[in-house]
Amino acid sequence: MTHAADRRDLAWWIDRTMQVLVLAGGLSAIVFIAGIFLFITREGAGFVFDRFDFREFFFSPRWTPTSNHNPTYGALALIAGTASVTGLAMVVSVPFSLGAAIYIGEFATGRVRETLKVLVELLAAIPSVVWGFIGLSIMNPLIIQVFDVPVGLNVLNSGIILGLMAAPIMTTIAEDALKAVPDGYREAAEAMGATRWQVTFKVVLPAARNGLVAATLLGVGRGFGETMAVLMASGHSVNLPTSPFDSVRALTATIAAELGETAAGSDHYQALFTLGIFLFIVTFAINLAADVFVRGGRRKYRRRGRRPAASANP
Amino acid sequence: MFEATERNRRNRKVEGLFRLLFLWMTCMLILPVALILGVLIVRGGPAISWEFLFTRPINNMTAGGILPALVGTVWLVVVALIASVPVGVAAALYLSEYAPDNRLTRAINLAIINLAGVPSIVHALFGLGAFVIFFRFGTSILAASLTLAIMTLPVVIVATRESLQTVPLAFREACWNMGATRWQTIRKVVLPNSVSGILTGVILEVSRTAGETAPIMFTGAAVFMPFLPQGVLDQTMAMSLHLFVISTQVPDVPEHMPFGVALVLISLVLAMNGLSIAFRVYLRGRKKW
Amino acid sequence: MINGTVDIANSSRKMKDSEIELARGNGNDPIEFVVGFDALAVYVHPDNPLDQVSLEQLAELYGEGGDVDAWSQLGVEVPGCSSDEIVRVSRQNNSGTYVYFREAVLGERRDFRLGSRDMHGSKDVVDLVENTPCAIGYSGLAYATDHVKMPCVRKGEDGDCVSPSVETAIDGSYPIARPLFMYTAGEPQGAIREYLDWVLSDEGQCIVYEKGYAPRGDVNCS
Repeated sequence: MTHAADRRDLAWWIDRTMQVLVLAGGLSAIVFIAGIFLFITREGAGFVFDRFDFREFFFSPRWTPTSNHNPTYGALALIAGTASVTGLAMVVSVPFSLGAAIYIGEFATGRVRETLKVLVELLAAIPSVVWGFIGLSIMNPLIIQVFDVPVGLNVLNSGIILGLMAAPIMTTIAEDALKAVPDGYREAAEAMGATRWQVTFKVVLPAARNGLVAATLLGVGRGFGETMAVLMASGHSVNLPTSPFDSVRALTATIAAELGETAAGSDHYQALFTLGIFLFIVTFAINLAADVFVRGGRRKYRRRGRRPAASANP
Repeated sequence: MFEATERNRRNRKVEGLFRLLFLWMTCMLILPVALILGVLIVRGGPAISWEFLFTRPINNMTAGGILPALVGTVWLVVVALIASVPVGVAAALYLSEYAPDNRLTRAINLAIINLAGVPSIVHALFGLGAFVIFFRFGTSILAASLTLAIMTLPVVIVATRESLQTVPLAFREACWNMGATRWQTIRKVVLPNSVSGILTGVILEVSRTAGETAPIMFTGAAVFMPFLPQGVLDQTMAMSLHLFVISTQVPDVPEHMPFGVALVLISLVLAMNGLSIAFRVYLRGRKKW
Repeated sequence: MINGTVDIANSSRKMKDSEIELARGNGNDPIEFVVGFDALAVYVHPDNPLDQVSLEQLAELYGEGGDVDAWSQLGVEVPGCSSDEIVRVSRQNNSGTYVYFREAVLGERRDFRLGSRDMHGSKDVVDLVENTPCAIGYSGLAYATDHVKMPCVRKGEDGDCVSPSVETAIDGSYPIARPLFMYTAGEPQGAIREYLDWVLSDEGQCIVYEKGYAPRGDVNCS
């Protein structure tokens, strides 16, 4: 009965083949992410090596790639645009997302909880071009009317929209982080007479801190990379913003607006790919950091979380 | 004794306040969906008719319907699914059934997170550099769909992996004990028990793919095409880009038209999402183990 | 067209030498056809009392180092624009409209001042000006609507002020009018030749006229 160890029939070969195919599927994710970096670098390399000027790129607000006599590629204003919109989005979105995560995770129960989760998921489903259209056609006149400013396409408009777009992922990840805190923590605190909100604030939130940081980071990454909504709602103006009512231009929107009519291979074209490389590196770093935080959070419970549960059950 | 109740009462009051605050915050996130839908229905509803859905745009896209955009979106989604579902399911099978807990697995997981996190415009640059220029597909449905496929791959992988992991280990062990190979176990036991879960992921991917704009702008979507695409090497119109174009580029578009397009697009996407969610709830209720 | 993906490309600016080089490098020799003319109108909000503007004022308004920032500097007070600030609306930096406006108004050696709203399409420009009392923008005459006002444009302080119209674009009196091009990859053949011949025929040129552009020469459109 030991011949099973070296049976090499059809089933064995199929098993082997499928194992290789499935591994290839797994590896494809790595291949694709490496491919993305490789191909955008391939298109942008000419600019990065010949024309790239570190000081100009990061410290000059002059983005004038089509100038006749003196084309400059300063990305400072574009970076400031992206940062201001993402920053405002986070100010709007982080408290609400965490609040929603706490309500869904700690207070709501049963059907209410499921319904709220579904509705938050639907918020994530709205396509970014529809958000942009909302910014253009509904928020714009509204902001002009309410704040009496000349133009409603500005940091405020795109910040609010981006905040709403980033909220679902933050709520979901934050709620996961709250859920990962072992019930033993809550039970121990409740046994000592703490109320639900005391448990939440004094025990659950500190314990879930890493996961909450990860949620915020993913939200930042989402805002940083959003394209269509920012293109349509931010006013698209190369500008170092000084107030939420200034129009700005984001990195992503610049690529989207200019790439279509730029000749392949020109300096301008390669500079746009260089912006893409910059975006890729920054979002990669953000995702990496978020992953480290999520992992750190999980490891903590693996070490400490099981103990109280075990001792509570003698 | 008296002090304790006083404190209790105060605590309960504070707790009620916090509960209300958090509920309000949750509602503030959900309210916009309802408001947006309401506005789109009120202002875009009058534009919707059979004629709007099933005729071609005329007069420089200021009148007529959206048929080529609707058909184009279907093309883009179908080709993207054909490309990404097999790869995504394979990747999920590897991660759930084969992968040991090692560096490679962590690298794959990190790559998946990044595929989902890279900005859509960077995916567009990649699609242009790789599919349009390097592989010489030109600006075509093929190039656009492959770009979309890679971008939405994580949706399929994550949904499939989750549904594979709900199949209890005991099912697999029972099968292995009867002398079945790993693959036989997967094909006869694991996949049949998780196929509906995979389907919810696929539906979710449809919804994501249909709404994307940036990745197809430079890889295959055209502003205007007088005819329907005939094959994967043609360019095509798409709903998402059409909304962008008629709301920012084309003069004299009557106001109800972009609202109509936005309403059709969002209905499509939300219907797909709703379907996926309903399916999931139904499955959970039916689970036998 | 440069990459060889299309047979005919429309453009509102001349191809740059570098672009022609790129196209030739890909085996496509671009042939140029002028199919009509377009006047770039200056747009302001209908409530804006501004009736005329000079090229020099526009240059100081849009150009780098320019010092015109407020409506009062142009001698008008705009109702609904309490801040007096001029909201400059422009186009994205590789559109033909942007390049031509720079050439015609700012001159060869001057760049745009940063901080203008660089809209993605001409319709965007008109829409924004229509809804913004403080705004000024420029765009093809064909994009004009009833909800914006087009001041006449003069050259120099005491030049004749000419209103933008198809007629003034044809006779050359309007100072910011530009040719519109079609480019083909190589000498056009077959269907492409027939299409171009039709565009340049009286019938094609009358359609150009009806859409608010100026035809190439004298045509009689009834």
